[in-house]
Amino acid sequence: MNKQYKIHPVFMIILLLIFMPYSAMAKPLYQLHVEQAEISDQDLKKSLKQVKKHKKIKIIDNLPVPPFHKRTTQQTTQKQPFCLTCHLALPHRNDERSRTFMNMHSRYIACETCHFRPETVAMTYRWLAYDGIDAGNVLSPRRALENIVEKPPETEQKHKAQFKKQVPLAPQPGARISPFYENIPVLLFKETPFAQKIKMEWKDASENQRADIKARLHAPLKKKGPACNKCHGKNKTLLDLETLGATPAQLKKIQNNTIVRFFERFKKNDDRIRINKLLQ
Amino acid sequence: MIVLFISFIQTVNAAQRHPDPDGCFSCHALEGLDYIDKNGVLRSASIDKQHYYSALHGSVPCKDCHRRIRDYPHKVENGEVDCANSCHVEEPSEGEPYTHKAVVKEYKDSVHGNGWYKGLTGGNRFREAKEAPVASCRFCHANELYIREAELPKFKEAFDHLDSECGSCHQGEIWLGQFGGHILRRFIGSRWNKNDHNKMCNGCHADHERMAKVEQKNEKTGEKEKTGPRFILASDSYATTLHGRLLETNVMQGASCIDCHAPKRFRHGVLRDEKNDASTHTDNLAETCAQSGCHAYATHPLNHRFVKTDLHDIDMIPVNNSIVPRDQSRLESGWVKALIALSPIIVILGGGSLLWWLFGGKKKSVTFSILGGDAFQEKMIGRKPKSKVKKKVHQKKKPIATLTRKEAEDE
Repeated sequence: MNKQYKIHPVFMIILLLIFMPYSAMAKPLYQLHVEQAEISDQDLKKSLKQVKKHKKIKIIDNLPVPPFHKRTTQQTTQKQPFCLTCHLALPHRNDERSRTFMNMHSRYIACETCHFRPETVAMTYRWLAYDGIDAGNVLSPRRALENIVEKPPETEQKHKAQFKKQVPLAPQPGARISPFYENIPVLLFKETPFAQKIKMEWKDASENQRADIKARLHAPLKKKGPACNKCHGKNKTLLDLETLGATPAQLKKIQNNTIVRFFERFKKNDDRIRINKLLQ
Repeated sequence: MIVLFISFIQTVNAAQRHPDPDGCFSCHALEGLDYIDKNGVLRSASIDKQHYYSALHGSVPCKDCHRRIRDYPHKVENGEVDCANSCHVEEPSEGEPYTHKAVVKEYKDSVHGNGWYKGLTGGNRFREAKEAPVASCRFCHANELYIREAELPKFKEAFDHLDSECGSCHQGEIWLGQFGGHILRRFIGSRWNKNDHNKMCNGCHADHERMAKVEQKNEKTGEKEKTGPRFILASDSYATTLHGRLLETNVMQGASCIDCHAPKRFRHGVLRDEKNDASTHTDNLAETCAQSGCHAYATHPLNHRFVKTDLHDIDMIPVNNSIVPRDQSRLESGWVKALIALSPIIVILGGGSLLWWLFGGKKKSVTFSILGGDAFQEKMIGRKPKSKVKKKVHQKKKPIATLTRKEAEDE
C-alpha cells in the first residue's frame, strides 16, 4: 500500500504567503494611513459640521440655453479613484482663481499626488493607467516608447504650427501621474475591497458615524495642494519630469510657464491682476 | 512709373487678421478648464482654438465681445457680451466696423424683443433658462463653423479657381483668407436651409410646457394674458399642413416658419398677426403668400379666399392625440359646429334605431305598414293581406292511443 501524504493546511498557508506576489499582499499606503489615523475631537467636530452642511450637487449639463463656444466632451475613465465615491470629477469649485486650472490638472494627475504627501515617507511618481486594457497598471513613459524628434517650427510655418496637436506628456489618454510607495500605487480605486467596505459603512451610518469616517479618510490628506513651482520649478521639484517622459522641449515649457509666473504674482486671496502682466 | 501705378491700383490689399491680440489663448486654449459653478452648472473656460478660428467669429478678437476684461480672475460683469456692439472686423464692402446692430434692432421690435441680447455671460445661462420669457440671441445662434464640414468639399472646389481668377487683381494670402472665403461662402448657398430654420423655432415652439407659460399682452386692455391652444400647438398644427409635410420629407418647396412670419430683411422681425406691419396680418397675407413666386396668384382679387386658409388649424391635429386640449376652445372647432348642425338628424335616426331595438325586435317576420300595406300585398304580391286572413284555430290533438280506428285512419 502506498502511503498518502497530506499537506497540512497551516503549511499550505505559509507556502502561499512565501510565494504570493508582494503587491497582492501589501496594502496601499493611503489605506494604511487611514487605518492608523488618530482623530482629534476638533477634527471630529469639524467633520460633523461638514457632514451636516453637505448638500448633494446635481450637475446640470443640458441647459436649454446652449453654450456659445464649442465644448469638448468630459473625460471619463474606466477606473475611477476612490475619492470620486464622494467628490465630483471636477472637484475644485471654490477658489475662483485656481479652480479651472486645478481641475485641468486632475485630468492627468492623481488626487493623491497633490493631496497625499506624508512627510516621513519617500514616494516615487509614475504614470498609472486609469483607462484602456492597461487600466490599473503602471505605464512606461511615452518617451521610452516613441523616439520623438522635436524640431522648432520654421518661421514661415509658425502660423500653422500653432494648430498642430502637440504630443502630450501622458503615455496614453486617461493616464495619471500617481504616487507609488515601494512599487505599489499609494491610491485606491473605487472597486477595491477597502473602498467598497467604506462605501457600505457610509450607507448605513448615522451622522456621527459619517463624521468619523470622513475625518479618518481625510486625516492623511492635505487640503491645500503644493504650490505651482513645486512641479513647475527647476529645483527640488516634487515630480521628476524627465523620468515621467518629458522631452527637453516639454520640460522647458513646463518649467518656464507664463501662467505659473503670473500666478506667483498673487499675494492675497482676493487679488486681481492685470492680464497684460501675463506677458511680462 | 505708369506700370508701377497700374500694378498698385490693381492690387487690393487687406489688413492682416489678429484674432488673439490680447493673448487670451495663453490660458483659454488649454483643454479641461472646467468647473461646476454654484448652481451646479458645468462650466468650461476652454476654447477649442482650431474650432474658434474656423468659426463664424474666428476673426473677431475675444475682447471685441468681452470688452471690459482686464484683470484675472475675471469679474463676471466685465465679460458681458452685447450683440449690438460693433467689432474690429471690417465689413468687406463698406470697410466699416462690423456690427449686428441692425439685426438686434429688428429683433428688439419683434415679438421676441424682450429676449436677452446683451449682458450675456457663460454664467447667466442658468438664469436665462429660468427667467427669460423668450429666446435670446444665443438661444438660437452659437459660434458654429463658418463652413460646415459637410459643405467643405463644395467650398474647396469653389476655392480652387481663386488664385487664377480672382488672384490676378486680389493678391496675397491675407486677401484670400479675409475676403476670398467670405465671398465664396456665399457661393455655396445659405448657411441654414428651411428645415434648419424650423428646427430653431421648434427649439421653443414645440415645447408645449414652455409655450403654455407664455403670456401675451392684450393690445386693447394692455394686460398680459395666457395664450390659447392655437399658440401652444402652433408647431404641431403647422406640421400637419402641406408646408410642414413637404419640408419634413426634404422637399424644399414648402414654406418654413420664418418664410411666412419674417420673410423680409434680417428675418428676425416676427410680429403678432394683429400688427399692421406683420407679414401675417390679414391685409398682408396675399403679398406674403405670393412672395418669391410661391403662390403668385394669391394677390389676384378672385383668389382672396385662398389666403384665408388656416395654417395653424388645431382641428387638423388628431383628436386622440394627448396634446389636444379638452377645454372650451374646442367649441370653436369646425368639427363641433358641424356636429351641432347635424344633431337633429342624428337624434331622429338614433332615436328611431333605439325604438326599433326596444320594441320592433319582439315581432319577428311581421311587416308593419302604416299606409297601404294591404293594397301592396293584394295587388303587387298577389296574396291575401295577412290582416284579412282568419287565424286558424288549432285544435288540440288527441293522443293516438285514445283515437278511434276511423279517427286514426283519417289522421
